[in-house]
Amino acid sequence: MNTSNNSSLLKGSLSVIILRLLEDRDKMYGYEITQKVKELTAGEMAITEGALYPALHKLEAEGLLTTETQIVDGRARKYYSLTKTGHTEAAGRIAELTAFLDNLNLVLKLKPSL
Amino acid sequence: MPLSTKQLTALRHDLIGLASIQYDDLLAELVDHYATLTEQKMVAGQSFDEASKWAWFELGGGIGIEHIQKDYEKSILRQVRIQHRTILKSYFRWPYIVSTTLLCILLFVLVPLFSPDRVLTSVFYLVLVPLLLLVWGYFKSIDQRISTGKLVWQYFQNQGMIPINLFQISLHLTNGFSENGSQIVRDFLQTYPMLSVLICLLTLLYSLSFIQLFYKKFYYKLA
Repeated sequence: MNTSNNSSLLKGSLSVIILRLLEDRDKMYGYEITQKVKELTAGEMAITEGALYPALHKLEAEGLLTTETQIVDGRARKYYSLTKTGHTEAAGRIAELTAFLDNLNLVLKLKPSL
Repeated sequence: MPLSTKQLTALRHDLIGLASIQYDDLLAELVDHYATLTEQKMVAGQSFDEASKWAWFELGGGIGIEHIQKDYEKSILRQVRIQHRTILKSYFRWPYIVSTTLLCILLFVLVPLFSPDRVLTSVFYLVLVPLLLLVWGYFKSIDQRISTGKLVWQYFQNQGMIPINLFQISLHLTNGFSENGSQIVRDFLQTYPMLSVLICLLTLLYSLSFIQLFYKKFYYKLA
């Protein structure tokens, strides 16, 4: 997939991706999130740090994520997890994006003759 | 293999020196990411120098990291703004409104019993003390300001100074129209002591909200 197209498509859905990943896991840190996305999409989708951290900080500011720091290998590691509101908001945003993608799919699959 | 303390310090210096990262919280988060990327490259057989160069490039280089910091500042300032609004809203709950009204009634009864000069002096000190406390806090925390506390002060400078300046302007505005301007203000405040008391209460409330805000530091919660 073309990287620039990929990143522009990712921009709008990054927060939903983060919320979805954290829905399944207790807590995750920045690097872990980038690797998980890479792993799930077999390297097709790459989240840049420049996009990831602002998105994480925005979600934290909105009160959807909470953080805690643990010392790992001699350095501080910041873990993100969903708050109660975050769980509710995640379900809503995922449903919203899924519905949008379903509709988009219908449009994209439309044959020219129709 | 985890990086040594010396190697971690080198990565930290890169972030501070090359990308001007100035917030402890963000620095810690980026050092961890930078170090993890470097470790991954080293597992693949690269030397520390080579691995850290690649990791730096993957992090987005100086410009990319500076962009993260700008966004971080915006995000923290947004949190501060929301927090300040919440503090101010908390003052307008029924128990506070009732007790403030009762206090106002008490002052309304007591103020005429004192001489105008004494009222004016009290107003002056009541307004001055919270402001002095804020200034004291500013200088006390000057060393710790390489953290999100620095952004709280920035917010204070932008927002908190507005009512103080307006107060100053209103006190000195009459000087522009009359040679005896300050006397007019003084007479006005003496004639309407309730207005003086109201100014005091509002200044106290606003200063208190900033003191409360400053103690709500946006720290990392250690697990």
